[in-house]
Amino acid sequence: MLERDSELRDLQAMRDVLTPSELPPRPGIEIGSAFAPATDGVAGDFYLVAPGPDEDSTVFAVGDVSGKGLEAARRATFVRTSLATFAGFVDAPCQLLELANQVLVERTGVSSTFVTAIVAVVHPRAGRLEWASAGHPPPLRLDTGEMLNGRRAAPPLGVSASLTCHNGRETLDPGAGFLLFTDGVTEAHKPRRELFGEHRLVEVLRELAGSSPSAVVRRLTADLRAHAGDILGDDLCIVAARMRTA
Amino acid sequence: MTDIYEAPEFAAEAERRGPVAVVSVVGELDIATAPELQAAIAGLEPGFEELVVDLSGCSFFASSGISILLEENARGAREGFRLVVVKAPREVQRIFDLTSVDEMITFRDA
Repeated sequence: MLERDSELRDLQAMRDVLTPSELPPRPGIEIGSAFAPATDGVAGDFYLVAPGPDEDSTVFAVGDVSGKGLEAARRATFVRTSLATFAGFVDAPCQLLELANQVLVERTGVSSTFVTAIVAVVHPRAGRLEWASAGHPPPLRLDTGEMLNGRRAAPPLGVSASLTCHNGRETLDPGAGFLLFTDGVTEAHKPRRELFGEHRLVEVLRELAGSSPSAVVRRLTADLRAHAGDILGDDLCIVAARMRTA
Repeated sequence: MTDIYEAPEFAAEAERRGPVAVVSVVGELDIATAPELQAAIAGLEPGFEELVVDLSGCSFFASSGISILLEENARGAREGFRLVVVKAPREVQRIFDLTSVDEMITFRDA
């Protein structure tokens, strides 16, 4: 019983690190985020917003560890911490994922417990977004829900010693934005019923075109909860960002 | 339209056809039902040369299932059997494409 209590305490402490309720303000970007844990236990979703190596770059990451419980949360904490550390020195998304993969494999060896992650780096002054995915759904444009099609995703982190990864690149004009999310969003559903799916996600993004990132994530979270009947089979993790216009 | 659809009850059934072991997955494989797939595989009499995991009747496949397939793929390399996965319906199969796991596991058309 005591052991169970201390495990829950550890999980809660890690959860605060993995998905902090306050994100740091970043120059030129408005950001909204939401996290909702799976109903029957903590899974391994995380997000990160961190300063890049120069003052105009911000590194975003969203990730999802397969499995649940303390071990999944530990793995998620490790990957998030690695990405946060490297973000201060490297702002090429693929390189960040490759480094995270390398330290993860060095620490735990190649494993079938894997971590999917997407890294997006924004340069507001240059109006540029670069991203790369390791087994993770691609970013969507805010306002249209259009999928940003980069190169094919690399395999998830932790399953092989090396990661071959490709950067995608898009222009982000003032006022434009993007959405990062975990598969708990598109896969939210009542048992044996239809998934929330990409089409519903796109509908919400179109309907809320021009709204603040916080308003978008709030509405999405409410719709997802309603669709899933308030029982979430998996964590939900959403980060929305929009370039400021002035 | 949404509430008419109902996926079948989850089941993972194992059978042995000579040197080939087949585990058929029906319904939604999620974090709650994944242990049943694991148990079905663990219950197979050892010594098979090929392990076929048939996902053609699978209506949902979560990341916990991908871990099981990666694990079996690695075990196959160690113990000398081949893992072959029969593709899931198109919308379910997408997860393997999206995660690039289709590059690591051998798939066969249903």
